[in-house]
Amino acid sequence: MIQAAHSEVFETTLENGLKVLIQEVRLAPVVSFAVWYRVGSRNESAGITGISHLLEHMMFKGTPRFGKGEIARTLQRIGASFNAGTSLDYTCYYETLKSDQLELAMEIESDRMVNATIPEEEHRLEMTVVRSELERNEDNPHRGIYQETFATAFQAHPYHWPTIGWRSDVEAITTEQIRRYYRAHYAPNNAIVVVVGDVDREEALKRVRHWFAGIPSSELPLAVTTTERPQQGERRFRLRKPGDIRLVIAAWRNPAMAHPDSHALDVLGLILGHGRTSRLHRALVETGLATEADAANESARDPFLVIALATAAPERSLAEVEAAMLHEVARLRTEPITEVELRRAKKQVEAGFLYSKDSIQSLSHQLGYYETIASWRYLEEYPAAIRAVTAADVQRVATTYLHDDARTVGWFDPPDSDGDGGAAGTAATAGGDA
Amino acid sequence: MSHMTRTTRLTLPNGLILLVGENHSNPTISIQGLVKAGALYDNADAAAPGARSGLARFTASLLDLGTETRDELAMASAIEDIGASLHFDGGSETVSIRATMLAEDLDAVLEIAADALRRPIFPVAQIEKIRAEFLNDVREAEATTSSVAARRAGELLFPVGHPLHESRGGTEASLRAIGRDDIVKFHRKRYRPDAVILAMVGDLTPDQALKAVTRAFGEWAAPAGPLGFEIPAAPAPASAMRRVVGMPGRSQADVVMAFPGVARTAPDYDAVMMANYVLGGASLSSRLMENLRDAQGLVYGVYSMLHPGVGAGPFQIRAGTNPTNAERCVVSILAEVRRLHDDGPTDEEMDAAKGYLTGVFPVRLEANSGVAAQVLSMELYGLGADYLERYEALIRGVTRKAVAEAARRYLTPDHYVLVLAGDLPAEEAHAV
Repeated sequence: MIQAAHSEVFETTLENGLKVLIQEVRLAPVVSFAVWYRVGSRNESAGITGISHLLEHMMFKGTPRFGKGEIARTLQRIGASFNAGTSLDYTCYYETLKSDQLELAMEIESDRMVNATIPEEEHRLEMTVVRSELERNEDNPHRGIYQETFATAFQAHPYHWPTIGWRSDVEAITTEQIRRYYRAHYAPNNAIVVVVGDVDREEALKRVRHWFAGIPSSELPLAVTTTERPQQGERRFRLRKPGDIRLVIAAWRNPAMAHPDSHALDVLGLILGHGRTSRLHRALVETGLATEADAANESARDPFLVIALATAAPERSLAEVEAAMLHEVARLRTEPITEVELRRAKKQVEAGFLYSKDSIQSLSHQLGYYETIASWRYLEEYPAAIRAVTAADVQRVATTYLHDDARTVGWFDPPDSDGDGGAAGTAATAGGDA
Repeated sequence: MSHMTRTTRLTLPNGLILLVGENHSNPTISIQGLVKAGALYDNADAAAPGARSGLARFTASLLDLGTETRDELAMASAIEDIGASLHFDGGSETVSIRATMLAEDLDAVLEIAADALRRPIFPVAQIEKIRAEFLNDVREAEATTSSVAARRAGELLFPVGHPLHESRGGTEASLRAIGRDDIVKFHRKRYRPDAVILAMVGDLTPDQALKAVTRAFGEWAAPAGPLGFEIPAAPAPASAMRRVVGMPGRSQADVVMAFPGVARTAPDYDAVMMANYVLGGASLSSRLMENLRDAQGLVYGVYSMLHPGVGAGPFQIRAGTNPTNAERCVVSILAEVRRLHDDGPTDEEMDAAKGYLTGVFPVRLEANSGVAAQVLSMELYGLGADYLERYEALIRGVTRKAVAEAARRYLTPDHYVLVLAGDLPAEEAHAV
């Protein structure tokens, strides 16, 4: 019944080091084109935190070929869906558009791989936008508690700082520093081109060659090699910032995404904190301790975190929310998960994998994302690897990674509330009560 | 237009409408559906205007929190066990239904959806949970400058008693007043098979779809009497009206200017939509953005938008700004409204709008959910089964003159409502 609309993924590397992934998907007369650079906040250092993100903003400010505002205007005029994103390990740019416009997307991306002008005046003007993003982050309790968690759980590794950067760095970075960073990291041998959709593989590859093969490779900065020391004891913080909610977070360092234990940890994350059937939801939300509770295994190129987060219900203390949360995590170590839970998690993974194939945009995003962080093949092998996970595997990774001495626990506890609960806790929630 | 071989329209004997699009490339199905049971009916049986605002959304939020056969947790596991999703959301005119599933689970998801739509029991504990959540939403909205400005503008633009006078979220007073009886009655009266449309796109055939939907919904009987699904047009404001809501201590001020808008079914809809695109719909390259943000640096963002439905929602212009720039912002917005009203768009702007609209259309239809949403609105607004094929020609055929006329008709520089909210001296509503 299923008609083949998806070809195999075709992979090649051009002479200049540019990795190219092409997948023909004949679902709609649409193609998604993306360039992923292997650079993110992991490549920054003290003094220039946030520079990857700042550079991403400046990449829309033009080249000699496309003047100020022209990239966005040109893409808008043909109805392209386009954007960019910066994270720990990558910076990506994409355009999803009618397949007869693919050439334009390639022209724009090959041009700004090397020709972005990054004018000083535009940098100054863009700081208004970046500042408002910083301010929004600072006002957001969730962002606040995540930032504090990363800064506490990572002491040596660059995952220590937020992708948006420390404010003083972001304010002090010069235009010249952004240009230098751009020249150092944006090169074909540090990039992946992804083409997914209504294209002919040979023809698409020819066009990629046309636009990108002439860009010379360059010598890249040294790879990030810092590894975080094992954590030998619980770390805690209490964030006393204004806010209208109270949060509890707990985090444990996980292995890098490419590590074989990632699959069992993904299953663990789903069972612990995904959906209304999850253990945290039942133990915290159903019981009225919290209004929301989630958990997930957040993987990255280097070891990152398994994170559990709960929003305390009014009049419930952060201490009791924390105790209930940690109790659920301890149970994962002491008793095996049930067959029902395991079956549910596996079905969710399998279904999610198939859903992502419905949309060329999401498929393209996944290919680029996994190629940057592990390998695009990780995506293909994922369902089978998840199917192989057993209850014993989940218990084993819970014991290996989620032990008490390896955890970071934090409270977001606004000054006008009382973390130990009682009536004062109520007053802290959204604009008093009636 | 898209990868679908065909779309089939089917009707059950009880009036439920079914739209099926086949896409056999992947074993998944996306459902986008609706029940004509939105906020327009909130106060149909209320003792006083506005006394039950929020009732439709309240009812929709409770559908999957307990039925005759499943409690909340059983409902959640039924969906989560099969890796599917199912959501209901009460909007101004309709309750939307969104679901994703593997093709093998079509029957299961339809049975759960039918259970939620037909047999909810509205447990008191769940009602109170939702009430607390919604009260919190209202408090948050009333503390946020952008939503305060939009809410007050709606109240000025639509007269008391009009279905769009108040937000679909209700007010603190109406949310407190809604009782279980109101919800039960609302559900009994408004949830009926002939008020339901389901668009299903993915790995299924019309025959399979019809059988599955009949199994789940076939025995649902339609009550006698017509649905009465309409929203009256609001009169244009007699003059320009202005109000300032003082909200001390806020760093941002918000400006909302609103005009009576256009229904999706109106013959001049495409022209109005293009006027909106030129004025403030074109994200970074609209007239408002280029003037207020790029040339003057007055705002973080400024947008215009239509809320077209079966009724004519407001034609809004919204801007967020520093309070010291708020009045300059108003002057510049008005200048842009007047300019488009007087002169219409340029040929270049027409080309840009047409390029965008014809280009983005297939991009929006690239996934099953996008196709389902499109097919659903084609049915709801009577756009015709061949709308997908006609779309490009339809857009290409809109003339500069038609858009200029639409701008003259809708963007009336002397008849509008204007609300500012932020750290500014308050002003009661008054004519200007």
